[in-house]
Amino acid sequence: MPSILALLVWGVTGFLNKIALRGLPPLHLLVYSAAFFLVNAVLVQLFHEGLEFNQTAALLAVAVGAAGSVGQLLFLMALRDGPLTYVSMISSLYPLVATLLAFFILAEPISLRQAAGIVLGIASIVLLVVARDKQPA
Amino acid sequence: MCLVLHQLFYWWWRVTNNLLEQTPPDPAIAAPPVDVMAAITAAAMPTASDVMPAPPAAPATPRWLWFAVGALVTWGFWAFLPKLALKSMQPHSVIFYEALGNLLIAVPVLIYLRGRVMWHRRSVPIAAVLSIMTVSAFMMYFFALKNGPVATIVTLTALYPVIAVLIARVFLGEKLNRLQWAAVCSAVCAALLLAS
Repeated sequence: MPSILALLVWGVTGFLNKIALRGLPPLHLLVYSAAFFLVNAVLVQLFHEGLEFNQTAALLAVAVGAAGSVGQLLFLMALRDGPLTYVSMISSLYPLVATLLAFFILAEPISLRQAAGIVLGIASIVLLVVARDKQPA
Repeated sequence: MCLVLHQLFYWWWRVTNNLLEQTPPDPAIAAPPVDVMAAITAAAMPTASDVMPAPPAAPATPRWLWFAVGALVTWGFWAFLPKLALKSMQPHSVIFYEALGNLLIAVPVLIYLRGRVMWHRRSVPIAAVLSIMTVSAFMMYFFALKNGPVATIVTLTALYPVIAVLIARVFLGEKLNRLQWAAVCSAVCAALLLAS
């Protein structure tokens, strides 16, 4: 259930991002997003018992934030020279990378039903990306 | 761990240097789209540059392909690494350190922009609302990831563009073509399979 809620909320943010990008260039939006994200992350702490610290986990979490932003920057840089369809299609296959990492590092098993869902999910992402270039006027 | 951090720092260094070196491409002389499969095949082939002087020729792999693959890999790590962090910390703490990680990139970008961040009376408040929603979505994502399998949760949440397309259809009146409808149907089937 939490993952479906995250999917819905991220869907709305994807839409709002589109609106925000009408008034701000991507790099400027990235700076605003990071600043607001930090403010909200601090506010979240007020509703919990306190900030934990574990060196390894904290470094991993910092790496998560950096990886997300680096990915976004690389995506923008790829878009500068490359065709939108191919760039988006390649980068949108990231669940496959995460799945492989989970399989090899955590030895997470994948059932047949999950595999079918993953293949269909990735197919739908690729279809969406391909369809973007064929948007009706 | 150190290797991941080192790699991230290297990417950050490369990205910031490339951004500083690059100038906006001239649309008049922009390179034509390159066939991805041909580019991937060319990248996989061994080069003869080590054994003989290479003749002046166009690079086999376009630069954008490296960037796109870089985005693919970094986003893969971005989706997977929280699972490891969540083994020792609760989602609210991971969110905080993730925000600090965002700053590792946002600050160099701010320096690149020479501290001049544009103001837009509509987009900036939207960005503020966006971040509230993003933090909420991350909290839910982390709760899911803490207890569930990475493959299912990452794939399920990666379907969010479908929701964005449907919202754009309703609120912006954007029409969906056949491929987009096919994507929506495929995504619904995927969600049902993954969530069951």
